[in-house]
Amino acid sequence: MDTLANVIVSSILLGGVYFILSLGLNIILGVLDIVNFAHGALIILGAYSTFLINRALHWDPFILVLVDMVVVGVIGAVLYLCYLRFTVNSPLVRMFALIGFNSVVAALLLIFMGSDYRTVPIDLGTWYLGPIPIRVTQVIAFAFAIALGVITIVLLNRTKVGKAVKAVTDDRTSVQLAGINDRRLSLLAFTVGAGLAGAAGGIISTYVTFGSESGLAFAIIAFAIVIVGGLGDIWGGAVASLLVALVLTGVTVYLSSALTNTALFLLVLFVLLVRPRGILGRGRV
Amino acid sequence: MSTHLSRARRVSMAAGVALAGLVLASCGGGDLDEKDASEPIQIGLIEPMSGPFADNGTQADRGASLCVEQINEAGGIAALDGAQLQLVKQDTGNAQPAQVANQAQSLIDNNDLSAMIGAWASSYTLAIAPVMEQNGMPLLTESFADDIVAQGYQFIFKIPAAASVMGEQGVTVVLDLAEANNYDISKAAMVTENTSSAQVSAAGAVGMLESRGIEITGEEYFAPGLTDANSLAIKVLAGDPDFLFAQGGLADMKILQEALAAQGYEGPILGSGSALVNPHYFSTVGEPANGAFTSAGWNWDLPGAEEFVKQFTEANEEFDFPGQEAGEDCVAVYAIAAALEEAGSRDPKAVRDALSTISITEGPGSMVANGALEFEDNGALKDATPVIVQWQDGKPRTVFPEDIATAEPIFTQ
Amino acid sequence: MSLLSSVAVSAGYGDLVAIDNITIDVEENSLLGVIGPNGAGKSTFLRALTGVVPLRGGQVLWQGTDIGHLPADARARKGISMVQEGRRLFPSLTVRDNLELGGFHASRQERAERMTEVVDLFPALGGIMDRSASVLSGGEQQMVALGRALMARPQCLLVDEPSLGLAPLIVDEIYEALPTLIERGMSVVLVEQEVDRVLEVADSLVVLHEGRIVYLGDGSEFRENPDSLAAVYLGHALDEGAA
Repeated sequence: MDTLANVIVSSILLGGVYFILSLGLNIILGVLDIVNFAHGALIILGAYSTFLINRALHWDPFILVLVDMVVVGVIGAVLYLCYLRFTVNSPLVRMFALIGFNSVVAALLLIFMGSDYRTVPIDLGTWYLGPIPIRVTQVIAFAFAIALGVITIVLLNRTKVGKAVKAVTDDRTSVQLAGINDRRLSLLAFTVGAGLAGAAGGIISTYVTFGSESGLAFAIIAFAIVIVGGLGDIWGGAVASLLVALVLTGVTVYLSSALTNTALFLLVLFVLLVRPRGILGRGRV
Repeated sequence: MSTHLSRARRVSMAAGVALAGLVLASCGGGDLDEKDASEPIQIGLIEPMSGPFADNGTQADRGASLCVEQINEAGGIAALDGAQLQLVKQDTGNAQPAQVANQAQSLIDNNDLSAMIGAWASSYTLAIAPVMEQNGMPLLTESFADDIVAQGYQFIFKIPAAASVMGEQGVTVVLDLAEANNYDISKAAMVTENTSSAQVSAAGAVGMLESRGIEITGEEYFAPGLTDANSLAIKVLAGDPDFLFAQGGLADMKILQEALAAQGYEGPILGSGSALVNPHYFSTVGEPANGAFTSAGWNWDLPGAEEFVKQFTEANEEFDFPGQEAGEDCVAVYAIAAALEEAGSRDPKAVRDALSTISITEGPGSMVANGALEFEDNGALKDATPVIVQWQDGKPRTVFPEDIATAEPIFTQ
Repeated sequence: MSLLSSVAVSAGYGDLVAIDNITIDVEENSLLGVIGPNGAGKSTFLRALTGVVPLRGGQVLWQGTDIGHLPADARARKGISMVQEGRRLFPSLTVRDNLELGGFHASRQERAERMTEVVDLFPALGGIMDRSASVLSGGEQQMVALGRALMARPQCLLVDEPSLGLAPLIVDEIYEALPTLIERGMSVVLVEQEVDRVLEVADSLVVLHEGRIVYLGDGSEFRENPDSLAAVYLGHALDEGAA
């Protein structure tokens, strides 16, 4: 019984982080129709940003999540302006560019940061929810992820620009015909999506050890969530984050952790077959 | 007809070039043994100095380099007119074993090596062993793998004890120590990365635990590169074990041990593999690192290591103590130096023959667990004893063998 | 000077030339009807004017200035709005949000005023403001689409097949709104299959056939002699067909 409760609490905390992990990917996919293969690199850049600034200036890792968002957002903007916007008509070139960006980031991190695994020193102790131990850092990570997610959703749904971004997801031509500069919205969406990936990296850095290529494992989880939740469906992504966290945790605890990737793959396959538009049926095909 | 002619001409030209090369070589280089003492004696060092095992390879490099310097400053190899030692380094990076074999071959081809040290990882060492054999080049290795001295190689000399002994001995020693310290172990769980070598040693550890009548409450394998360790910790601790056998890379061990600690596990952990002998282990994992046991090929608090440790930490201020590989490779350098003295020749085959006869009982060359460096016919260290260490106050302390232990094992209930 | 002119405009998709050498003026404060059989290039013509489809040749003049190189959103900001075939709303947004995005560049107060005007024009919209655009009937969708275009307060409104798939009564309602727009000083370019309805409201008429103009005039001939239109639709010039 304790184990089950433990699994559920652990999954909820993990699900919150997974949500922020997938949000940036989802926005970029929804608005720009870009499958952002650079997502893993952006995540790990956020983690390194926290690590480096924390080491140099000793700022609180959770404050740094916001800094990561800006730093990686700017990197994303540069990537978009210097390269991606010229690849609108050639998805293959774009895919190559984004995968290449991953390799470039990994290589640069290896050159400048070495092969050491990095960790951000933070330990705020453990709380007990009845018999269930909860690490305070994970609770704050969860709270941060949810707060950032909610702020993003509110900005997207309640502001004029946010609504325009959503409108681009629906119908880019109609946005153009309304006199709205969709190229700027695309840049904005990519910047925000990259920034959210950076924030996710910052959050992850508070509880995971990471190296130059650690982004990939997280990017795979993010891709699975986006597919399960429905392409471009943000609320679907939220539900899928919790589901994926539950599946990964449950499979580890009740079956074997060696089966987690298999379970993730089967979940994605199952959703694609049964609900191709995502778990809430509102995503794009 | 013309093609035949031209083929014949090409063959004769090639033969001419080869002959010219031979002549030049004999004029310029001369015979190895007739080398001038002003020319350094080259020792090849092939280690993963970048990539995922960089921490270990770098320790090897630092240890070997320091001891080469020590020997050179003390006057070099007396039997060879005070010739100096020189390390020729090859970084394997994260290459495939077959590539590492090629790297070893070209290291030999492009230099006048008298011996080699390497290649840390068992897979690398097993891959370069045939190259050593074919080239008649002695190799001193830090590899744990049993196979390396079980396949009839004549040119391989192994510093640490065998992996199987280490794993089994580790379990036995920790169980004995627990009993002596009134810590009751009745249930144990195993959690390990699913790489093949880790699985083998984990299976050995589990077998040993079972043979001691201990109930195994869980066996869990994970893929390296954990993104979350909480679920793993919940699973491993579900059976309420009072002993854990855990092994994985440093990154995974960190989040795993954090999660285990957060889930309330305070009992002993016996680890294996590179993470727990890495000098960065404590600075990476933090408080949960304290209390962890592991078997090691060498430890900084072994008798006779004081001077080496002092010089190492002065030369490498970022470390509080040298790592396992630093010590092993220092021993390797001294073994080679002793063999060069014994042989009075820099010829690799002569060095090999001398290595099989040397016996070092004092100085840095003897800083191994049994206090004497001597090799058996198969290249294994004679009377090799695994060192069992426990991390206490951020440093690995030798707790076994008891006669050289520097700390009492601590068991928290 | 005409409000909006196409000068020798050509456009197409891939190897297909959809419209070729189209020269038409849209005068201020007037309604231009564009008719023709399926595949005549009517929609492409509107899309070329607005920049949704790039020009292969020719110029688009706005009050005498060439705007053919501008992207669609920049042309829209000059004062050209377009209601696309199939309405093309933003289904993830409410009716109100759809309308408000039409007036993206206006001030909050200005937007509110325009919103009132739109609701005056299509009173049915008043009751469905907070409904999601994804659940509207065809008629409601068409009103939202027109309303969204009008929220930009364009000088020139291009409408592509507004009657398509709608019940006659609803089409009536939409067509009743068109004269009001002209009264307000707007120009309208109306692409339609339903020739009769266009003839009722158009000040001038273009007939396209296979991407070319086969008739350009005030359309009075057809009102007097509806049969002559059939010939034009088949691609015959009017004088031949009449002869």
